[in-house]
Amino acid sequence: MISVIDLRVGYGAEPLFKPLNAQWNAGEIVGIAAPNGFGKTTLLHVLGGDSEPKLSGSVKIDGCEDPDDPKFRRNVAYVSGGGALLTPNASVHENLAMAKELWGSTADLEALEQDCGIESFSGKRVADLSQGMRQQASLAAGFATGASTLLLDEPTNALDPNNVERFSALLRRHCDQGGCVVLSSHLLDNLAAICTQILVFRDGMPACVALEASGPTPKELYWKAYGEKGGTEPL
Amino acid sequence: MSKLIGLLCNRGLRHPLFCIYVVLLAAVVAWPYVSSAPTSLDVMVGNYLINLESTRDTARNITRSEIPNSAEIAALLEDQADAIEQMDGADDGDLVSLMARWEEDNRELAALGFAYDDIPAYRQAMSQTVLVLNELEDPQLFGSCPEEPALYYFCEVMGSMPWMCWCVSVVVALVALKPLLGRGGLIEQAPLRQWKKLLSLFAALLSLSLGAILVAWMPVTIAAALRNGWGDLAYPIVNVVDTAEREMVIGTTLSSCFLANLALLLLVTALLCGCAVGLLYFLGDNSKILIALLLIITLPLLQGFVGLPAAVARWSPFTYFDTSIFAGVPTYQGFELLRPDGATWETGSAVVGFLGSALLVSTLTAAKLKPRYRL
Repeated sequence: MISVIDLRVGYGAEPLFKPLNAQWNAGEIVGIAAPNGFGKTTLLHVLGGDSEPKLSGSVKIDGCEDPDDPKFRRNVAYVSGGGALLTPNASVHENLAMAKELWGSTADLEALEQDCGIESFSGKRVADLSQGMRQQASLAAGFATGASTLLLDEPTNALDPNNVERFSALLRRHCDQGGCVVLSSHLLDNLAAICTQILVFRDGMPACVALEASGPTPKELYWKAYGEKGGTEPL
Repeated sequence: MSKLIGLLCNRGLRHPLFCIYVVLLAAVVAWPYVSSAPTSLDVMVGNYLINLESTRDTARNITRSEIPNSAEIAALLEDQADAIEQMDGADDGDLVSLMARWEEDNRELAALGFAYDDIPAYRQAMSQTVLVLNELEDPQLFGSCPEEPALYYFCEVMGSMPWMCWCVSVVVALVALKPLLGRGGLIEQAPLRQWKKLLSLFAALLSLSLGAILVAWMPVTIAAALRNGWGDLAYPIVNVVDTAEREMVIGTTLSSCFLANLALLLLVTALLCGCAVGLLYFLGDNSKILIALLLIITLPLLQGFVGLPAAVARWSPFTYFDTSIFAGVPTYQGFELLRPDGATWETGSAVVGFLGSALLVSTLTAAKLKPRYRL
């Protein structure tokens, strides 16, 4: 679903991290764990086709590399943490309907609103919503696109525990149905609960580690990669 | 692409600012109709009457002078004075006939060498209009906007509409669409080629701006139609275009005004859309858009104040912001709106079409050369 080859990302000549190579397939939920300011959001932008901070390398979504190609865009949706996906002066339902129409998806909006727990405020303008409600609506809009690959920037930060559970289940369901999710988060326990892989960067070197019952947890990986006593043993 | 255009138009129409703007514009368009200004027809007849005594004096002085053809000139001046005397209180048909008599006398006077100065173009048009109207079975003169049938009113205000209305319409439409165009938004990420998104935005801006203007016209047009009827499309007008008299009818003037204004709107939309989208696209800084919009609105004002040499002004798009110059307007209200200077409709459409297309094509090419999915 996402194929990343020798990807270097940065705003100047200096890349934020060493070249990233990865292949994330359907059914996978990849969590990016990194400190503040490391470049998680920038990396998600580039995975979503933004060309400006990309220095070299390529990103393919379902085999398509050109971010201007409708095939690329149809298969990916980037949901930012601040609700930027949504039109603030439209209602939540109108936003979902726009997402469905623009992507040409077959999403059942009423069912989606119920699944996402937003049916009680789907008629409200996005601008009038709380941060948490806006985040719920953004995630729902991401699902409404019908895109197989979802790029989520700190999706659960503003959510209450009930909604964290709810959306974790929805992400798992999305992957069970053939989708792929790449998300960034500081909530390492949440990453442990839903992710199949964790991407960390030790000394700028990217490492994608599969989460297995017998293997290290995201918390352990995080401290190994970024902690002062991280050591030098393999991740 | 049609989905996106529909969606953009739909969102634009729902924006409160856009709705308020349409209501305000409707009020601006209706203002000449509802305001109770003195009729320019009274002013015009008054101007003839003021000259009554001086015309008779001139006739008496000419009789006593030894200039060639003095008797004929004096007779013509006396006839003009008689015509003026009968104008007070005459109905439309008689008034046109008396004015035509005065004009014919005036032409004969000019032929006899009795002319004060070069006759200005507007005077030529007025004279010719009166003669053309006098040939009609039932000529009518409209002294004020509330007297005019709907089409004449539409034609007149359309032809003399301030260019600011066209600019502001596009800016308001752009502001109404702005919430949809943010970075990381649905439109930015939508699965459409970048050039299609830009073209859709252009089409939506054009539709919203033109729609706002046409909808704003509706109340006053319907009111005028109910009060005075629609008016005869074949009713004649004489306009002076590029210093040449051109006999037209309401129907052709109306279509000419409409096309001229549509071309103007295309240009303004292309200018604003090109700048706004280009700046958003390349710089990603929203404050630059405001600067660009202000510049675009300031430039024609600068041209108006500073002035440009005629040869340059002919090729400046802002010259054509006053479409009455080449589209013409009805001239029944004191003949004040005639514009003897300026350029032709053909030059205007060439300039507007060329610059509008160039801007649009350059924006689309830039989008193609630097593919990003950002709007």
